[in-house]
Amino acid sequence: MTSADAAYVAFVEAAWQRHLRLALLLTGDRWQAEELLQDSLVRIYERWRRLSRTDDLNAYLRKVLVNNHTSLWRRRRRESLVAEVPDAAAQGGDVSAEALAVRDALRSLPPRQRAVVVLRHYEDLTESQVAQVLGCAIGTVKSQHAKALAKLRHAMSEPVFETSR
Amino acid sequence: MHDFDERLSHRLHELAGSAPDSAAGDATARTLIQRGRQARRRATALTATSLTILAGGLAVAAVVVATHPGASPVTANAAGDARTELVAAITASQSTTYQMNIRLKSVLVPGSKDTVSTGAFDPGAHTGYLRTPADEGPGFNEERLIQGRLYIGSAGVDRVLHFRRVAGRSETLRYDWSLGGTLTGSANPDELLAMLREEGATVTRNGNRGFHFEYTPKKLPENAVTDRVSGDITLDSANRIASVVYDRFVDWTKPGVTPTPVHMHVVMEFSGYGLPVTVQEPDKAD
Repeated sequence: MTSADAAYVAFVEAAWQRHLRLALLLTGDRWQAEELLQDSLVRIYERWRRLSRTDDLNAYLRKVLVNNHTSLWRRRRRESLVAEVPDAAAQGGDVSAEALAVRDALRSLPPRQRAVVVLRHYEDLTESQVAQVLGCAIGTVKSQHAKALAKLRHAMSEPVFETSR
Repeated sequence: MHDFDERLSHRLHELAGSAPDSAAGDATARTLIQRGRQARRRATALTATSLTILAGGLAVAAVVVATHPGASPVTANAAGDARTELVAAITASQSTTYQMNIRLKSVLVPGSKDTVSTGAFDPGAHTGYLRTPADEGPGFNEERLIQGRLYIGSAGVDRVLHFRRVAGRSETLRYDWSLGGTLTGSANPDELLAMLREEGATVTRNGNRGFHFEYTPKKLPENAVTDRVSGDITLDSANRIASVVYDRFVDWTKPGVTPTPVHMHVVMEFSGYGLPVTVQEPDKAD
């Protein structure tokens, strides 16, 4: 194994769990999340030798992952392969009913809106940073975010949220 | 409002945290490396060969190897042989400086973006540059050739270029990033004609200022079953090459892999003939 490959393996091991969680939120499915993450890491490997030593590799992987998710979703839809895969890991388990409602609501969002929500509220990025990751204007992020939140509020029984202060 | 944001954030973390711990084992990493290598090899193999052939036989020669400064253009013969006329145009184009814009598209890859390289070249001074953005992210690659000294640089998300000097003297830029493979060949008219004959390329006139070519490479890339190249060359008013547009179709097979046919579309545009080309030497290079 070359030193470049060894560095890549170390990066994969360090980045795996964190980005698998991100992929899980984006896909809503454990197996699709692993597939998405693996595809993204393969893409990273293809460019591994070209990546700058000063690159923020985690930020780069996040960007590839998010954009890969959007294109994978598009491709799957075109190929009619969006069969609902039973997801044992996310069927319930120890999470609250409200978290499950969030999961279901997220799944109902278009992939870009889902990405905006996850990047803003899970990765805690600013609107400007989200725009950079998605390669779009801040205005687009704002509008997608507003639409997504409106749907989430509706889907998550807004009164519970709004009256709980 | 803030409460909603906060609760949403908590629930997302709860969901993410509910995923059972999973580590990328050594086997997973090795599988990823294997897949990455295959993807890299496939991309290189499928582009390099046709471009090499094109460079040797036809249009890409216009951007590959400099002719000797002042080389005499080949004159079309009385019969108006299209190949000879094309060689004359290539020679005329390579006797001076030019700017180039190269657009590569993988047509069959869903969602793929065009890769657009821009640059300029002075064949007499062996000086030029070529800049190619990365497929993903804000990074880019840049080559700088200064009087035969070639530097290859990459910039990541910080957009800071890191150069390395290529040992020895280089006559031309490399087109690995813009066209997917290192080009070889010669613009020497005699050699060029010999290669055209050898490869059996069909070159026909296409109006007053154009040629059409079709080609089936005799030597196929690794794992390729069929390989076809066809395209058009357009000349400017001074009979220099204005554009080369070609498509390449490759079918390939490999045991254990579901093959995806390849269709690449390449557009090369040349302009700014005769304009000076100045390139700054990198401050630092490995």
